[in-house]
Amino acid sequence: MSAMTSRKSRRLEFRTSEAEYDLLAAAAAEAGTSVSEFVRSLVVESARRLVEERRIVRISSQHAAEFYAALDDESLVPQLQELARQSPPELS
Amino acid sequence: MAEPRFELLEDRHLTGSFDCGEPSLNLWLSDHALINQSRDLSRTYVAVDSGNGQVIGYVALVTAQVLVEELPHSQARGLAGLDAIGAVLIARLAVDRLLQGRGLGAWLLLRSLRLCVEVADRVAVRAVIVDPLNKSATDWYARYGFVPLPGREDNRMWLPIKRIRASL
Repeated sequence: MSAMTSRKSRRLEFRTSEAEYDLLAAAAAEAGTSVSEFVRSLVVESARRLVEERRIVRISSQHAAEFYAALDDESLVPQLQELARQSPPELS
Repeated sequence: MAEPRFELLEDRHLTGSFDCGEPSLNLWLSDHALINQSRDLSRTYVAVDSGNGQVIGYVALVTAQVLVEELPHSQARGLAGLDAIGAVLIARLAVDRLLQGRGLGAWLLLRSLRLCVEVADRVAVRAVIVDPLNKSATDWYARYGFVPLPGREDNRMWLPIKRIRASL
């Protein structure tokens, strides 16, 4: 896929085979929408799912004990204590 | 001389000239932050120069989950052998190029962490996760005590809420 920038929105172009295009056109017609809107909505939805995966972090069972111990650690973080003492940034 | 304001992003905020030097972070603020907010997908807080009203930095917060695989003998405890721990993910944090190096990023982090503690006082959240874009961002978070998650090889780092609460 290549991306070209316009002012407010962006244009995406990509190549596909005749057979794939016919399939997309048929599916878009089925969905009652244009090919580009059909493709756009599905691609955006897939991208959103991918981004949402970032919100899940998996810890394997081998590291579970280490993780749980850290979760209940209440020791101070000296760097954060220092940060909390700093005065807010001054803007000129 | 004035302290910047820390505000939830709204339509009225002037984000047009924001440039942190990282195109993906600029684009996210100008094109996606408000839409995501209206869909309750993220909350973006902006640092506003109280002099001219310009947005000079931002931080985007979302919920996250740490899924811990349980050991076979403890599988009865959790759903499908997974224990889900609630977390806040600092998904994006950026400062305008013209104001970098003045501690504005650290101030945004501090304000965000205080917010995370407030959230954790009301809803079960036990960790704050950060997702640094690159090595320099990883080093920057390490300066404030963030550490890699156990056994993970990606960039994500974290601190437990208990340590943040104790320190702020």
